[in-house]
Amino acid sequence: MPFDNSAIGEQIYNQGIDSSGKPLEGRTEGDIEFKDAHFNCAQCHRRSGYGSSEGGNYVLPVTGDSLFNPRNFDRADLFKKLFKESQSKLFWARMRSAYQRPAYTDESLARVIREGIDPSGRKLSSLMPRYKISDRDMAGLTDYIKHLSSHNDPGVDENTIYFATVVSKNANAGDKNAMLSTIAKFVEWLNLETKGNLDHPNFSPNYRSDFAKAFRIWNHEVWELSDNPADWLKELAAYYEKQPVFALIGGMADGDWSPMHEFCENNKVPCLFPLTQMPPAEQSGHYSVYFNQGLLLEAKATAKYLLKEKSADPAAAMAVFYSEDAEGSNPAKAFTEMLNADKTRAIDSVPVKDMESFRHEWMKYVESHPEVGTVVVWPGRLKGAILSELTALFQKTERIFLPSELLQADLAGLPQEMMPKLYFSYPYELPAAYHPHAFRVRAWMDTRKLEVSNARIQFNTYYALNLLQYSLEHVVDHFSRDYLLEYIEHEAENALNPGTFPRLSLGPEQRFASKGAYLVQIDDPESQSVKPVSAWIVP
Amino acid sequence: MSLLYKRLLGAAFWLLCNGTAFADGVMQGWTLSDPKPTASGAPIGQTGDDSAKPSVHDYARGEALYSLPDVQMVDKEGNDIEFRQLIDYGGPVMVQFIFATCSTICPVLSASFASAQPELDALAGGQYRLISISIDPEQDTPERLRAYAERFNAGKNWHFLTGRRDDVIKILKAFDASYAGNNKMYHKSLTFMRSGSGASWLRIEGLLSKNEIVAEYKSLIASPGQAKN
Repeated sequence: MPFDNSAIGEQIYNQGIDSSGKPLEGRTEGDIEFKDAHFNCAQCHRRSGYGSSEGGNYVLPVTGDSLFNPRNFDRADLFKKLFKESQSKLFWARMRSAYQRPAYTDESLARVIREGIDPSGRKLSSLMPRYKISDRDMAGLTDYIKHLSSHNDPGVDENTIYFATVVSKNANAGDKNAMLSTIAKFVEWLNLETKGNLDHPNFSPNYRSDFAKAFRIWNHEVWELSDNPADWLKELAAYYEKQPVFALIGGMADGDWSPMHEFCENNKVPCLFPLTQMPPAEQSGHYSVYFNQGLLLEAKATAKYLLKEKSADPAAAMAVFYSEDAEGSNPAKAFTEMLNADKTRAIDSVPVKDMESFRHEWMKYVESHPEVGTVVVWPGRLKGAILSELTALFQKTERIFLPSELLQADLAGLPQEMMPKLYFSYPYELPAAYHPHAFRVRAWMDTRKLEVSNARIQFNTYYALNLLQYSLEHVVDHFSRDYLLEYIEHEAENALNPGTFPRLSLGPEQRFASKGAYLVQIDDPESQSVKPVSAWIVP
Repeated sequence: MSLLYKRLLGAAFWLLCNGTAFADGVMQGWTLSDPKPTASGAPIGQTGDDSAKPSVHDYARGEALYSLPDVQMVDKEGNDIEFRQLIDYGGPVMVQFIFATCSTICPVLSASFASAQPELDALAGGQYRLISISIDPEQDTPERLRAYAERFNAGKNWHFLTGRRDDVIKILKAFDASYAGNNKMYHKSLTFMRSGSGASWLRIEGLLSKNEIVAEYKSLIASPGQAKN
């Protein structure tokens, strides 16, 4: 079998595994020996090859273009590091250092990787490892680096960058409209600003002209999917073939988000902050970034809350009723697995097919258990009718735990004596919390005559767009999807938190920005306000 | 020659003679009066012997007394840990702030702990503690910290802590290790060492080699810090 140079190069660069399947070996900081696949090139120089900056250390780009040409400086590329990052004076001095070097050759690249000596004879920082790497592997790695980020990714041309938002027909119309109208306004105003900058090339407040080469008009489309999830992959492929997009932004579909996740992984398309309760169960992707784990997070937070309860009688019966669809069974499974870790607890799992079977199973359970303590319900597709059904069934239970989605129902009609028995997982910021900059989102919406119809959806959408815009600005004209994701990872914590979550934060290869949930009870059914009964739980 | 001209010439001569030393001082590690993080001093394309780091340090050293908070943390096994008890156990201790998904400096910080373990075992007879505190505690669950510890072959004296974010922030503040904008990407490369309870801390900013971390430990044990009154 012929030796595939670039494939082995990619494996070394991104995974730190050489052609013999062994982890990379080398030395860092002068005398720290390692044999560890984590010490791969991408760890510091990132998948895009455009480098990074962390803790006052500037990691230089290693794209083919930057290495195989003499070193040059582009102020627009360094602008953020020079003026916006919170770095030390020494870091900034290094950014401005006029150190030059000739272009790398295959031989000098091998030397710098093995010995840390660059083509001008300088020794690199000891932070850069010196690797033990065979000639064959070096050839593969060189080949891979030569082509790394050598051209723009699909979805962008000289004037335009293309985005899309995926919505399914069966998603709630009001919610869809709240999200799409926010995106439409954002894109409209951003394009007006871009056109203004392009029309006045010599008028350059805030160094805008430095970035002229990076300006693109955003073209945003809505990719509407049918009611049949089995067709979604095919439908997405058809949209993409017609007009490739650089990234997907937001998104909403009733049910499992897995087809979109799969599409994005297959096509290496960033999928940024879809508004879904059902990201894939296991985080296995690189290209999709979510607000949180949705129902799985709620299941785990509820389980942790119950596990931590001091007063609970572990021997008391606990029932988990769940709808047999994925939306019900996935959180039920995660919840039960976590509780089963505590061997002292007895849990009865009760799957139900429809509302009639829910009613029937509930009655049966209550009859066979004279004292029902805690019941946990994952209603899945039955979520629309479950609360009204419970009004007739709640009397014989002490507590009922439900997912946060049900708080959006009409709570005012529920019986007064039922309220104290209801507990909800709540993976959001509490209504009373104060986020000093959150008003800016409302101000933005007010000035654009955008009615606040669903604050959480609109604010989250704004956060995603704002972060995308900021990150794209700093990618400048290096339209690499990986580079964009790296900026998003880096800046998620810095971006304006609109107050929907206590904190949004990512990091290298982190794909869920909010990691916890409260347990709450209804405070005032009229205004749908809630009160916490737990601290912020991170399962 | 006017007096002013002579003075200017004298100043220029002084700078010429002492400028190099001054610049060396800057490169050896320095502190800023402003609150911005100071960088590890290794300039890009630094000079230095490839087989071992030069005798001139690339890091800044300082001594300080810190008043540490009474907070409860969680170790990699999921056990609740009283932070002060862990630190004030009586013997030498080293502390670093890391997070498991950090792409650049944490792996090197942790690798310095990892590589120093055998020598520290021999030197301290097993009487020492290494403590790595996650600055991304919501992401770094005990399970993830276990995987991280395994990656660095952490021995029994190396503790990994996560916990409530507010408590981590308290510890960061106590060690004067806060970073700008609460964005962990701007955290500093810091290692703290102390010979025992009540002694002052050696604060090291920058990345250390194995020999450097061991040498600093030896010097610390040889001249224990002043005990607090």
